[in-house]
This record gives sequence, C-alpha cells and structure tokens, in this order.
Amino acid sequence: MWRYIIRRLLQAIPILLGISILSFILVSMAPGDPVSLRTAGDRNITPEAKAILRRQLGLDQSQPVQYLRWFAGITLRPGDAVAEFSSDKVRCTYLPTVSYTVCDTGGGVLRGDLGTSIDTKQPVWERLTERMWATLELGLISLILSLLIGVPLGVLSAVYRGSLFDNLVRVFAVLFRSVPIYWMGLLLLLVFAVWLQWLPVGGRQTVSLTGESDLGDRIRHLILPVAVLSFGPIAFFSRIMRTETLEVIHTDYVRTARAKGLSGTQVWFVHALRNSLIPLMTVLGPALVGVLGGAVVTETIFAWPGMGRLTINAVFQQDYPLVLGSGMFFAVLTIVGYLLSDIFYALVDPRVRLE
Amino acid sequence: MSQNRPRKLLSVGVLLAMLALLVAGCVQPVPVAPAAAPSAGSANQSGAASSAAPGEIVNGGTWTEASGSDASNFNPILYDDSVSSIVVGYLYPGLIAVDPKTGEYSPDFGAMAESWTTSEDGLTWTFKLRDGVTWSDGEPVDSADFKYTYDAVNAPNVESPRTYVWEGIESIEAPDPLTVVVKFKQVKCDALGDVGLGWLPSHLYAADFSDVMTGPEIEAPRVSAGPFLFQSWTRDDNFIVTRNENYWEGAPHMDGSIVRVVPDAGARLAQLQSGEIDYLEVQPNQIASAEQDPDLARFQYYDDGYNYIGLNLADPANPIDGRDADGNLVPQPPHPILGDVRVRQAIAHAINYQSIIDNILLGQGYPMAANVLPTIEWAINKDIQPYAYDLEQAKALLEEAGWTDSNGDGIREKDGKEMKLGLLTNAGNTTREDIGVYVQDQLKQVGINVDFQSIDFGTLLGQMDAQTYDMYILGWTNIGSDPNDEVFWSSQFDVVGSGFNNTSYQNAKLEDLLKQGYSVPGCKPEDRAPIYKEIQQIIHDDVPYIFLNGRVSNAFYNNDWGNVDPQTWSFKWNMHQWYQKSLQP
Repeated sequence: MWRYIIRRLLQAIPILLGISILSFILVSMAPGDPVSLRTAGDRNITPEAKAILRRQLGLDQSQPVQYLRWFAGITLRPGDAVAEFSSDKVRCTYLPTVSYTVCDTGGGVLRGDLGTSIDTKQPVWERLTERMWATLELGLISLILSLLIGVPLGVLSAVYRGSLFDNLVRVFAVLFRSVPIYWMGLLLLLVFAVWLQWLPVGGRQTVSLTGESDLGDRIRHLILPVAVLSFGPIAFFSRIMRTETLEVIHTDYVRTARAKGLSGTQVWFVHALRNSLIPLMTVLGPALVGVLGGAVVTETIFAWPGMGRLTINAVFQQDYPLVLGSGMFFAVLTIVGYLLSDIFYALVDPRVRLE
Repeated sequence: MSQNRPRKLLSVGVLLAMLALLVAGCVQPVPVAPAAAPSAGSANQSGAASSAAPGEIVNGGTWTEASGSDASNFNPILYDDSVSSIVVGYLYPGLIAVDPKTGEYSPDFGAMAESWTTSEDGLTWTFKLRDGVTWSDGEPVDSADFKYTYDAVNAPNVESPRTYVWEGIESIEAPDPLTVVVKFKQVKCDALGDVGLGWLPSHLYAADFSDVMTGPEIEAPRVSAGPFLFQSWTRDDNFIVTRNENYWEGAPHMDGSIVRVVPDAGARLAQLQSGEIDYLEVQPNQIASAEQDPDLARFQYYDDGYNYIGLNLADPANPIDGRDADGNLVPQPPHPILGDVRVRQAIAHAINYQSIIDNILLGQGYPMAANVLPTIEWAINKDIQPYAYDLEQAKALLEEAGWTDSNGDGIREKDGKEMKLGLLTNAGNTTREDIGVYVQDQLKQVGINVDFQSIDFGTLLGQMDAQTYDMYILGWTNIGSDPNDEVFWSSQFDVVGSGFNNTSYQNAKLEDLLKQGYSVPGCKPEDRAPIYKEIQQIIHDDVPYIFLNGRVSNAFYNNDWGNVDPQTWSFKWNMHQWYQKSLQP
C-alpha cells in the first residue's frame, strides 16, 4: 500500500503543475489589474506612479514571464536593468548576447516560496497558515458530524423503509440538499442569533479587551456555521446509505446471517453496514472538497476567518500570488482527499488491494 | 498632478465587503474618525438621549464596531484604506483637525496646532503647537515629529501613497519644538488639508527612514498620543484599542474599542441587532429593520457623495489624451452619439430622479443640479435646477440632434446608424444595478437602445481608464468640504489608462475658472463663490455627468452610550467623553 501511496503522490506533481498553469492563465485573463483596483478613487495618483507600481509587481511583463517568476523565481527584463532590479535579495545578470537581464529573486514555488501577497506584503505561505486551521476546524468538524448523523439516519431509513421516519428523512434530505447555504445561513442567524439570541452572530470566538475565550465560547461560535455546512452532507450521506443498505439487505450473506439467528441489530450494523459503507468511501474525498468549498460562503456569512474568505478576498482584490497560493492549497487538499478515499476504500473492502 | 485636496473614493456602495479595500487611500488625513459630511440642515437624530452624565461618571464598557474588510496597516503615511484610518485616527495626532460640524479645518478637536498665522502673500503658514502633549511612553509630541513625518513621505526609501501632499508645499521647517512653518508654492485654497497627516513618533524611527516601511509600528504601534492605545490585531478578524490614561484631552471613559471584520452586510446588521456591535452605517433597505430596535438610535445625515452616470464625450474607438506633452489641449474626436450636447441633455431629461430616490434609494437621497453638493453652502448655485423629468423635451432634443425613428421600430437612427449605447456598472452593487435597469427602460421610451451590463469592478475600472465605454453608473464619496473638483473636468486629467477625467470632457473656459477658483488671493468664500457658481452652470449645461442623486447616510448606534454627539463630519469626534449609561449608579 505504501508503494501505492508514494506513486499517487508522485502522480500529483504533474497534476499540481497543470493546475498551477491553468490557475495562472485564468487569473491573468481576468480583466483589470491590481494596480487600477488599488488606486481607484485616488485623485492624487499619477499615471507615472501607476506605471511604477505595475513594474514593481512585474505586471508589465508577458504572462509566461510572470509565470516563470512565480514558479521558478526567475525574472527576465529587456535591456540592461541590473541596477534597477538588483537588491539584497535579488541577483541580476545582464546577458549582452540577447540583451536581456536575468534576475534570480531567490523565491519561486520550486523553492517552496509561494510569493508575497500584494495586499498585505506578507508571504503567501504565512497568510495561508494563519487561516487554514480555522477552515480545517470548520470543515473537518462538519464532515465528521455529517457522517455521524447522516450514516445512521440512512441506515435507519432503510431499516424502516416506507415508515413515517423514512419519509421524513427523505423529505428533509431533499430539502437540505436543495436549500442554498447562503439562505440557510442567514435564516439560522436571524432565528438563533437575532431573535432568540442563544448563539453569537459570527466570528470564531468572543472578542473582548481581555482576549480571553474558553472552550464553551468556541463551541458556541461553531454551532451555527457547522450546522449550515453540515446540512448538505448529512442529506447526501443519508441518501447514499439508504440506497446502499437497501441493496445490501437483499444479498445472500445477509440472509445467511439472519438464518444463523443473529439479532436484527447485529445484522444491520455489523454485516450490512460495513458493506454499504464501501460506496460511501468513494464519495468521502469529494465530500471533503465540497465541504471546504461550502466554507467559502459560510465563512463570509459567519465572519469566520478562514481560507474561504481569504480566497474570495484575494480574487476580488486581484491579489494574484494569494489567489494562486490558495488555489494550490485547495488543489493539494483535493488530491489528498481523493487519496484518503482510496485508502479507506481498501481498508473497508478487503477485496481491494492498492497496488 | 497638482490636486491637493483631501482624497476621495469611488463609492462602492453595497458591494461585498472586500471591495471596500479597493477604494483605498480615500480617507481624509484627519485624526479621530473618518470624515462624514456636512449636514446642510438635514442631519437628524432620533432615539438618543445624550445628555451629560450626572455627577461622577463610572468608567468602563467597550465600544464595538464592524467593518466589511480588514485594515492594511497602521502607519499614518502608508495605510491606504478607510478601515486602517480608524486606528490611525485613535493613535496619531495631526497638525489640524476637521470641525465636526462645519467640515472646516480647525485648531480644536484634538489638533496639535493651538493656533496659526498666515503671511501677507498667503504662502507661509506658521503653526503654534500645544505644549505638554506627550506620546504614551512619555516622549514629547513636538514639531520634530511633524517634520519627520513629512520628510519620510518624501524619502526615496519610503513608498508612501501620500507623496501628493508635497506637490503644493515648498518647504517645512521646525524652528523650535513648538513651532512649525509651512511654505506653500502657490496659493491653493484647498491645500490646507495637506498638512493634516497623522504624525509618526520620530523617536521610535531611524533618522534615515530605513525602518518606516518595515518597523514593528506598521502592524503593532507601540505608542499613542490619541485617546486610545493599540492592543492587538488579529488579521481578518478584529483589532482592539484600549484607554490611554494619559490622553491630553482627558482619558476616555470606556475601557476600549473593538473593530470586528464582518464581510457580509446582512450579518453586520444581525450583529447590531443582537447587541454584539454598537454602531453600523446601514444600507437603505436595512433601515426599516434597524428602526424597530428600541435599543438603537439613528443618525441621518447628508453624505458628502453623489451617484452619477459618466458619459464618454469622446470616440471610444479612438481614445486619446486631453493634452500633449507640452500641455496644449488636444481636441477629442467626438463620441458618435454622446458627442452632441443635445443628446446628453435629452438623456438628462429622460430620467426621473425623484423616482430613483423614492423607489431605489428608499428616500435616502436628493436630486442634484450640478457638481457642488448642498453641504458646501457658500459655493452651491441655488439658481440651477436639476434637469426636469420631461420625455417630450427629451424627444424634441433628440429630433433636433438629427436622431429620428425612421423605420418605426421604436429606436432612433441617424445616417443609417442605430442609436445604441452601452451602460455599465459594477456587479454586486444592487442599488446601481437597479438604477441601470431603470435608466435602460427610461431611455428606451425616448428611442435610445441601451445595452446595460453589470460587470466585475476591476473590468469596469479597466474600461473607464481605457475610455472605451459609452456610459457608466458610479458614485463619488468623501468629496470633502471644498468645491474644487478639477480632477474630474480638466483635460490635464484626461489621460488614457489613468486620470479621472475619463469622460474626456474639454472646456477651455471651465479650465480657467477651475484654476481661478482655488487661487483666489485670501481664499475668502465670498470671493470664490461666484467662480464656482459659474462652474456649476457650465457643467450643468454641458452634461459630462448625469447627476443622479446626492446621498443621505444612516448610522444606527446603541443608545446605552451617553454623550454621543454625532456630527456630519465626524461621528466619533468626542469619543473620549462617551460613557455607558447602564454602568452608571
């Protein structure tokens, strides 16, 4: 299995490279540019100052050259620009034969440097690590909660097929699957935070001058965003589990188990459940990605300081390095999600061997 | 660029919170509270019982606000967004302040200058500073700090977005710790704002400015000479300030203040209603909901901004600069449709401004005749009326301009060309999107086919800069208290790819008047007023902009706070005197 994992990880490299090129093309195709956005409404900015800002950010260069800079930390400038661009960190050499100046910025993704955010001037990696824990906290708790609720609901729904309970679960599953997260978020906020005032409106913890916040406070802040983020997956998981369980209970080995005189609970939860979990494993990876995608909206409504908001902000601000950085983050997470899916699949189904 | 007025921002209205950052650098460099607008008699306050506290006031409480976006940094010469200005205003003193009632520059309201005198030629200003004011670490606040700040702005190793302040200034001297002498290059009536930057604590910085861009003060200021001390900044979440016990105007009663970053407008309103925040500028469609809350007081005032439709007067297929390298006017190839002033006037007549104000802005606006807001009372030309809503007049003007519906399809033509115009605005701003649809419908009634699109803000800016559009809907805000808005109308600022005269408006007489307006010797309002009144008449007649409405803003705040005395130019000007009523015996 280890060989399989290593092979999958190696395969991820060209995938990431492709994603980075694709994201770069998409980002650079976006109309407007970060300098115009940042100087909009600034009556005092001169065209010359704008040109200098563009040059500093390398926006005056062609897209392949910009990509090269981001990826390998190498920049190309026509003519002799050694004096203009050399600094403590940047080493430049003039190549007279092609009359180009080549600079090594010492950065680049190849060297583990995702660049610097245009907005905050912080390293992109720092921005990402500041925020990823908040998103992972929200995403993973939601995913685990969805599994813990969705799976038993699905199984029970199958067990009591056709009952009122089953019908209710199915109706709610359709409802929760179809209601937009944004609407659901604002609705819950209105009811539980504004009218009933049981729960806080947003944020990750209570902000106070003393800065103290206990676990209870953190949990109270988690309830609404986790709930909003979990409705969809709970519905999704319960639907899958119901279908799969119904399929499994008609198989021979379940009949055999019953014939052997096992109790209903044992049949359902030991024999049937493990087999109906197999298809669930295949959707777990995509589900994780889906939950993190949903976090983009949830984080905006609940002022949750996570990756989703960071990415959205970066896109609107055309903060290219940050957009690419968070794009890569989500890409890595997707790849890892699918890999974990495969591994779980093998763990649950002994017939599957990862080679 | 010689523009020397407090800066202005493109309003992004109810755009998603992050767009607030786009309008960076647009807050007046004035300590304590970003500028609001003069009231022009319209300010109105309800629900607040802000009488003086009985006897000794019990200190305590935390004032909490919400902002749609995060701060960028807390350096008074480096920050470029309105959110950062909140903290900058709390910590760094300025030479002059804005009178919260009149919007004029004043030596009161927390300013470091106690008084000032002007030389006879109006070029040299001598400011006398307050004695005994110290930074929170005990170092004196003196003229060296002022000089250091302005030298830093100009230093080659500092990339400050405030370099414009030096365009009108010849020299700055600090002959003694309590005197500052500023010499201007020419009389420019709106230049005083340029000496209003927040001061850097020079004793914490290197003499060669090498640490201005990189020092710890940028993100975690260590000292303050204002009412609050910086405590913490959690990026994208909140920033916190606490009481400065040694504030020279008297320590605040409150323990401190928190600004939370809440990107969603609906969530911000929810936080206001649940009591998690104490203050919010609400959108027109949120007013009804906020008004029902008995714990909230409302402050309604004339904003110093307006919404408009920018018309491209030059050919979008061939954008050229308004001046050549020698500064001579370059005649613009006219826009095939909008180049004719009769067409522009027809459009102005075809829009029902009151209907926009009533139905889209829910009453939070007023009609405008020209470019000066009624808040600048001495300069406004009250003789000009907004274009009357008159479809017949509009049709007549179009006929006169040669645009007729010859094929009976409802759309006019001229020389075989259909009268079709593009109209753009920024997606996500529902108010402007509604206005766009409305205008499209109105213009169709007079035979103009409008292709309305709401597009990404960056794309819109790109088209405006490139001058390749026909018409766009946007707004200006933080116009300031001086009527000089040369940057919108002078060909000097008609620069393709940049520059605010993106309508390519050109009028040599107007350009002369604009210059005269701000260089009147003595700068007396009564001397300047006739010039600005003439300017308004010309702009009204030439219609480079269709002025849709002046804006009315609404702030709601927790009425448990006493002594709150919001004024249109500053909500928080006396914040150190506020106290929480529920804490009092």
